[in-house]
Amino acid sequence: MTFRARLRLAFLAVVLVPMVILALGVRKAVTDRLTAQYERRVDALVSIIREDITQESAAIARILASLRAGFIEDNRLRLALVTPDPSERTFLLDYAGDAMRLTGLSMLQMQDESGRIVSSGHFRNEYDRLEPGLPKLLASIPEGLAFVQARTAEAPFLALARVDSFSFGGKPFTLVGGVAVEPRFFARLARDEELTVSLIYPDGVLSSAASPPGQPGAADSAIVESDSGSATPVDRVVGELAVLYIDNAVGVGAVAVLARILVTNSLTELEALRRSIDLWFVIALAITALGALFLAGWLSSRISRPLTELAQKTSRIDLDRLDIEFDSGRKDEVGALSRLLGSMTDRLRTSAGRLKEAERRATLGELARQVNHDIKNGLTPIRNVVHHLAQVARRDPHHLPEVFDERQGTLDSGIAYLENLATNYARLYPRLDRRPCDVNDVIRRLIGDAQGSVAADLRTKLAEGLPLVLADRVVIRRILENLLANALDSLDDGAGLVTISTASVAAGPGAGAASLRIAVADSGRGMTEDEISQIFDDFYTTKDDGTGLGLSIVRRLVMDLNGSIRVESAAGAGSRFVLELPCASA
Amino acid sequence: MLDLMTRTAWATGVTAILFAAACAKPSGPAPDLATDCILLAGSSEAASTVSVALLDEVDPRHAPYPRNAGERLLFRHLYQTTLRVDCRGRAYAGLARSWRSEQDGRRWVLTLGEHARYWDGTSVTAHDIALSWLSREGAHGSQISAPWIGPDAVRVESANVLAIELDRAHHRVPALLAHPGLAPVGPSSGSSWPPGAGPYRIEAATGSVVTAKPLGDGPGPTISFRLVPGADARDLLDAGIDLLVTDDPAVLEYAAASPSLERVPLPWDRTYALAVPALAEARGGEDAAREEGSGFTPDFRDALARDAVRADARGYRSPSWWEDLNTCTPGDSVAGEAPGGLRSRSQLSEGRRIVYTRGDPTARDLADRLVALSKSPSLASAIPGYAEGGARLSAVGLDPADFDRELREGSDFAYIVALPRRALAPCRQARALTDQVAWLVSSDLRFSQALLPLVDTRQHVIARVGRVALSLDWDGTPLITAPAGQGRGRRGRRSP
Repeated sequence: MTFRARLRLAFLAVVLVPMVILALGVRKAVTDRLTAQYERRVDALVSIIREDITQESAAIARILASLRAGFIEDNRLRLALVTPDPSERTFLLDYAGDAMRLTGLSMLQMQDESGRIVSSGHFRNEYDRLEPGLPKLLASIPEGLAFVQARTAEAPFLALARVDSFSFGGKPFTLVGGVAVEPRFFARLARDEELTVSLIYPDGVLSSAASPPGQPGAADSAIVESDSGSATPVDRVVGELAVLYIDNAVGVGAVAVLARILVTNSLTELEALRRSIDLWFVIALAITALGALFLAGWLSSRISRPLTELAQKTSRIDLDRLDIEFDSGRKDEVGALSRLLGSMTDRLRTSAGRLKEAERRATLGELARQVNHDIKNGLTPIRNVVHHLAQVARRDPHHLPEVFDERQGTLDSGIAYLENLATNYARLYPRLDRRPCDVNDVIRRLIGDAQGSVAADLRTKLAEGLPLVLADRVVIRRILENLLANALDSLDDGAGLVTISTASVAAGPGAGAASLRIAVADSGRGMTEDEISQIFDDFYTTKDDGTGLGLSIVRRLVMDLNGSIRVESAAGAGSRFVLELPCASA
Repeated sequence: MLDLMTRTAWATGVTAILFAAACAKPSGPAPDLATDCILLAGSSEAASTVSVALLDEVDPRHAPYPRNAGERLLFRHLYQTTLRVDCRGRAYAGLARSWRSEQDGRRWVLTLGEHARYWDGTSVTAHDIALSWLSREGAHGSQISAPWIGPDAVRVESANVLAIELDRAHHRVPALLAHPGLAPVGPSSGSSWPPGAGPYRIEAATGSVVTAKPLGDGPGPTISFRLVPGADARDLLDAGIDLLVTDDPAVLEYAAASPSLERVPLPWDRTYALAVPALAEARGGEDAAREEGSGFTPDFRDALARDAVRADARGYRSPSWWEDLNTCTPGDSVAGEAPGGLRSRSQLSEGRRIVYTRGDPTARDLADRLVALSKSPSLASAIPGYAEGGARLSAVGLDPADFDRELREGSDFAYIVALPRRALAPCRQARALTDQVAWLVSSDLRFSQALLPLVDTRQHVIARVGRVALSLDWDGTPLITAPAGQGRGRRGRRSP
């Protein structure tokens, strides 16, 4: 994993973890606080609803009492009830309906002593039905508060009902009246759209909500029974009020059972708040993460880029290339590292100088010894001839000219040897005259001069548009002459193929030419690895008449031109000398 | 269903008249409307202008075929048929001055009178009559012209002579021509009211008042028809309206308490019945032994009329036209198959409804009472499945179109249907009804066990005392006439 990736991950972790903890903490705090607030609201509303229903029931009782008083004063009703007259039948049947409409009740029925309905306002044509249970049941309920499922021809409806009674001529009559309990009734009790009041009774659910909980027990669906058996609200806060419910619709007789009024405070708003928190958290998280990634990228880039540059500079350091600068004005660790590398390069440069000096000295020593040896080798026959001539002159002077003529060849040979030796040594350190030089032109002239005088097949593969090199044209030619001579020498009987090719070498992808490459390849005998390892050493030669300085000089000349040279060869497979020279503009 | 029943009532009336006419002697005396069909005689102090309240919606586009009681009262004064029938079913001259039969009843010739003119004085020609018979479409696109008059049957002999040629003898043609849908109307003159040839013409018409005057020098007062649908009739009476027709018990009670108003009951004109598809399914089975119409006891029906229904009602009185279908010819037979949409009893037990037409208080009262008696043993014995299962029975009011569709499909437990009380052409009535509700009528044109009559009802005329003279038309429609001694409408005679 790269330093940059690690840095980015670290930044993300440092930013995200605290933010997630913060968001979770805010959510929990909001949830706890609002839930507690909702619970208090629900508890308060349950108390208020209990009071409201009690007052509503008391109002119904007052209406029934007023009706009772009015009934007692109504002589026509008295006659219709006490002495049934067929002509008053319609009057009696319509009586409860008229009274119901006048008082605003939704349910009103008069029943005689046997429980027979003599007049019904909410179900006019239900007359003569026997229903003794309902008034008795209502009368037996403390405070008389109960919800009644009342019948109509269309559909039963729920009513909050009370019972009253009166008598005519000693005949008791009961009066059951009530108000319809509809969603509006509960909506009025709820007072607040966020609060829902529902009546859960055996036959269904009636709710103030626009979409009531639905089927019986549906309101409980959102309540999870905990281990302790108490109801735990999941998505709402619930308060409960027990009431009595009388199912009078089925007709099997009135039966009172317990029903529940549930007050629920939906946590929808809390959910919305949570979603809002989550949304803003995600937005903030995204912005922060992007910022962190950008910052991490910038920092890593700021840190890694100079390191990369240092690495690239360091990779270029070589004993022959110790001119790399590591100067940096930075005050940080990168600057220190840069300065350290610069210092190290300086030490390397010093060491390299010393090494070169030592090598030069060693070379000079070797050269001196070699010169000493070579001169001695050249002087030995001369000294021997001189000694011989001196001996002849002393012992047989008149044979001296004869002997001299006889030994003159040896003298000439020795002198020629020394002259050749002196010429070769003179070539070791030529003076360079650096100018922009067209290598291809040098090669063409070289090949042109050589053509016809050699049996080998000379070919060139010259790249077009080669950049110029800053070098001494004579030096270039000497390098190439040496390499060409070596190549021709490696050919058996002088026959074979020698190819000189050029190419430009880019500094990097997309970059311009930084150097040019010259390759001299032959199809000669090639070299072993051992020969390759010594090929550039001074005085190493495999030729009988060689001095062992040709390739050594080539290497030094290439180095002086800030170039490089290498050889690719195998025994029997020819050789290929590759040298690279920096371009004039590089 | 109200529309359905209204249409069938018209058809029944026409056929009934045909039946009665067929039974009448061809050479019998002309009916004496002065004595036989007078409802209110009026007085010498009768008003020259009578205000009439029409409590139903009135639409001129329906003319001349009425859709409700209000249109029937208005159109009967504005449009006239070639022949007419009185309250006793006797044919007399309308636009036609005389009529005769030829070829043993296969050819009928009508001669139009000089008085046959539109409101603008243009003569009504035999061509106009033929055109109105053959081309007119009735309400809701239904053909109301006589279906027995084919396009080749009508011959215009001259400008005032018209012949009807039939493929077989029909002796009931004169009465049949009294169908209100066959009254000619003139070309439109830009008014919303098509010109008619009735005894009255429209003098002025606004959105809520139509003023009609007797045509020519005819007798009778000017009539101001007040179009006040949905209004409280008591307020109208308080405001001085002279005449209205209603079945609202509160209005009748109010009128009875007012010495300046007189209340006259019209004939029993409607029977409410319970139609139970499950009984149609049982056709030919164990219920077949039960006599038709005897599903409920007379006491039960009387109690319904007395206590449950607030309109003027009585327990259903037998016989009814659907109990007398034995004389129907094979040509009248139709295949009254039970509709495929009938639910099985098990399906009905899931949610049983007694359906009635919304806006008909009598039907609603009956449905309510039948629901209240859902545990009644007498009902349980009369209607299989009535007290079955735990499913609750409920009463549901539907719009007329929805009611017609539900009734046609027979997809509910029971229906409260309103039938014309007197169907004097039972076969044609049954056939017309079968076209609408196939499962109500058996294949041999006997009403199925599915129809259980409940109560008969009637309407009342409330008129200001002494200000209006009224006679009854063949279908019980009151006609405003000149008070006694001020002349009477012209009468025609049948040619020997």
